[in-house]
Amino acid sequence: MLTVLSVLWLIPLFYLLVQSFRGEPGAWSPTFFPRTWTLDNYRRLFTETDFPRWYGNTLLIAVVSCAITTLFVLAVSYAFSRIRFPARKPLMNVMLILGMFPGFMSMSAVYFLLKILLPNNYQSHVSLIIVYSAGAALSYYIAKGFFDTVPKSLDEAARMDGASRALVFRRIILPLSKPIIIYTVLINFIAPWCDYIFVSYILSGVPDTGMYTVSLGMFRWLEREMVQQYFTTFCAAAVVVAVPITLLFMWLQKYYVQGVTGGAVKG
Amino acid sequence: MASLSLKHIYKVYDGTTKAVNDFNMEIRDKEFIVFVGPSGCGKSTTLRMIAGLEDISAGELRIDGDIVNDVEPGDRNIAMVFQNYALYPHMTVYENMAFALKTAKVPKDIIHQKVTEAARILGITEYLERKPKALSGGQRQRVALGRAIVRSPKVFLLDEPLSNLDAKLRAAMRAEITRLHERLGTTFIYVTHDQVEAMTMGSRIVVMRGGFVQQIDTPKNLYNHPANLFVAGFIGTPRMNFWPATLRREGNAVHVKLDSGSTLTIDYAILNHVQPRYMDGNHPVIVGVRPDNVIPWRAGMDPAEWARLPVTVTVVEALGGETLVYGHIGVAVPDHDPIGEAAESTQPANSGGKSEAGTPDRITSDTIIIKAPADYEAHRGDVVDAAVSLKKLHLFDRETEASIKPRIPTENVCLCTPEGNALSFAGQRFPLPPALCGVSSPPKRETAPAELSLPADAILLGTGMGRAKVEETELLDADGSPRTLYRLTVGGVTLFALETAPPRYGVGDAVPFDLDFSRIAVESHGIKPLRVENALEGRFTKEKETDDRGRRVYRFYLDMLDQPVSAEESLCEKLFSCKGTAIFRTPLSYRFPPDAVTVTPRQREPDKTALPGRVTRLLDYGRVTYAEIDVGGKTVIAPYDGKAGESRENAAVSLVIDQTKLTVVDREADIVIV
Repeated sequence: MLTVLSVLWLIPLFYLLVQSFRGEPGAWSPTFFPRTWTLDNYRRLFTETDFPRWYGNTLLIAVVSCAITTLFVLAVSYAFSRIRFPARKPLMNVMLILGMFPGFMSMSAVYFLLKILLPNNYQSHVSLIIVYSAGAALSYYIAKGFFDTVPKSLDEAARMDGASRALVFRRIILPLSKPIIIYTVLINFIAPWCDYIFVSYILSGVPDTGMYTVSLGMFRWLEREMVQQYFTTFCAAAVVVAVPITLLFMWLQKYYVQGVTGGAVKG
Repeated sequence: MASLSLKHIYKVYDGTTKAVNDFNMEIRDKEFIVFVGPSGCGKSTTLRMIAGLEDISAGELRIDGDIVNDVEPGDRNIAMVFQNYALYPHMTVYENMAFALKTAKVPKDIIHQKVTEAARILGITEYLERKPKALSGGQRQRVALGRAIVRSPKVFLLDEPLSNLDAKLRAAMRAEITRLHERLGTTFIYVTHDQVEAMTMGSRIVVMRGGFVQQIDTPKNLYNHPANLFVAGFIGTPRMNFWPATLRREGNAVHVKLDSGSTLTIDYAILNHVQPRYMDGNHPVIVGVRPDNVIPWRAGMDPAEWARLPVTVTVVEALGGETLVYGHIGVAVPDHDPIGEAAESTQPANSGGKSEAGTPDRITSDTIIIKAPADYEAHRGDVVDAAVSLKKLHLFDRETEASIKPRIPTENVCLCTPEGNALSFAGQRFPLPPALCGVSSPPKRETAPAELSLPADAILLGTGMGRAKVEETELLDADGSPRTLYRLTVGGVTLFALETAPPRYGVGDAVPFDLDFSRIAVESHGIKPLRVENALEGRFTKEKETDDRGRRVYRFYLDMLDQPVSAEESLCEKLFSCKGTAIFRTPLSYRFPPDAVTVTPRQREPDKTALPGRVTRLLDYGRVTYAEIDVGGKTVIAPYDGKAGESRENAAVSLVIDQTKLTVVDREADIVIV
């Protein structure tokens, strides 16, 4: 059953892959497999379009906001997990509920806030990084759940050993938290990498199409007047976009399974 | 190397639940202290408060004289071994042990030297490069100890460190920790629920239950002189036999009538520590006797030392080295199932566990455990004779559960004859001080004997008209202050006297003595002891005032019955450290003993250093004169040197209270703050 499902799942992806190698032009192909195979689409992608610039933009935005976001999420989660302070519970609940609303609900508010914050430069990559990282801490819940499973006595032992809270976090908790760090990194890398809504909202008015990110630029190719010319290129671009995420997953997935607290406490 | 002082330590959760109640203890340098009690008794919480991992709700914790209530755990120079070891799993054993030193930026070569030395002591040198998960339980335990050793801490805290090990390893580690204590010469505080660990390791043991300290004493004293029913039931395996009973004294014999019907007769000399009011034949008590002191009866046993009880056997446990015989006193087979009860009643002593050992509802009136030699033969249903050692009986009040045969008798009760202006007892005659002359005469001036209760420390040796012969002296050394207990005979009556000093008199000496009349009581004649504590209700307030240089400053006041008294700085500090600014909102009660008060005639208006009062009555106790002073409608008792004022009664006076002797109580939560 699962095999059948996974095959069904993979069919569109496979279609995308084979179409990216299609030799004949046009948006619609009468056959599933192309009649002529070519690498031209990829060559065109990198030589005749703005795609390399878009790719660079997206990578930059995704990497920077991923780094900031991960730091935010982990720090907030650790604080919620370990430190008891007034209003901790209400704050956690408010954040949890806010986090349940889709981010784009706040779009127009975000737009005006950005205009106040960066009056001359609000249609920029910096804006996007701010948008992606500012609200990230709302998704503290999973990381907090993980920190809750790390024995508190480790913190206590380290504090008895003279370590400050910051040092405990850095030297004891973070090294033990690889799975959750990787999870957080992946989630927060993919989100800006694939985002279309905020990008189209913030960047679509930019005169220089070179400032686009991949999702925005590629979507342009699917517009009625472009799609005939660019469909196969679009498929090639989609494959190239999928590559880093796939590699990232393949590289990091082993940490998911690795036990963390083995040997820490009684066994 | 450190001494610890815990004063009125409380842990309160959510403002209501008290996990630790008024914990007081002085721990000397190099002591091995064990906190023991069933789970939830507050022992771990107390340890964690000492470590700094839990906030102290109220009270004062000192290490080497310094208050450390607000010192970070890392700065207290304390090391702790956790129940689950808490080794850092991503570090090797070496890194684990070096972590604290690295944090403290100790040079690498010194770290290396210390870690290898500690590893050598603990025999873990070959594991230094391994990660904790590659170690066995015992090895991890050693690493946890090593991590504590390398820091050379002042105090070593161990929180149930052996509870995750199997029985054999536990015994070995027990010996190892004891050796380590001797070798390091550091103060150890060890928490366990296992009374065997407590008894074998501790130099002093703190037995706790429900947040209250039950007894602090050496293992031997805990075993031989348990302060209450709980301690008696908790310490010792198998558990002590408990039988409800009443005592009746007839001349030199005391009859112990068990509720199950049997009667033991004991020479009064054995029970002379027991307060006489329990010997009236109807005061409910509980007799406790350890199974070690109940053996099978043999012909020719001295009936003055051994009582013979018929026992119906229900269960026999042959343990190899000895045989435990469970049964019921008497020859009839009881209706209820005794096996479960007997087996259950021994369980808490073995495991600690959650069960409440020693509560009276568990005590069935007649179950008995006999410790017999290994070759002893008995079967279910047999009736055998048990011999109960009369010298080893423990007696408890059935209501308060406190021991009524304490190791240190604090009160003497004997017969006396009040005769108007004098008090005669045991052939000695003492003139009564003026304060008691009036009240001591009963309406009909009868001279019938009455019961005199005389606290042991109200007998003042060295001066006075009384003559006593010293029969026995015992040096008691509790919490570092030497005290001496004298057993005296005065005209055939045994009296106990307590002095806060090393022994001054030898056995056989004739010693003069006097009585502190402010402490004695003859209830039938209306003679009551002087109140030992004054209490005034009030608050703690602040006022913005202008100081000498014209600056605006806050001054703090103890507001006693709406009379402000400036608070001393040290007292303010203590109040703030316990309650923060919430102290201003807390209703307080100020308590102080009479001798904390200095009374002077009032010459001018009160100036916020003293309380104004008016003498209402003088109480002349001969040695000291006290006055009852009316302060805002409340009566305060204080020593009063009458010469200072001319008209002594009704004089307006000022009261200065020594704030170092002041106890401040939170009236809302009933917590001693200072």
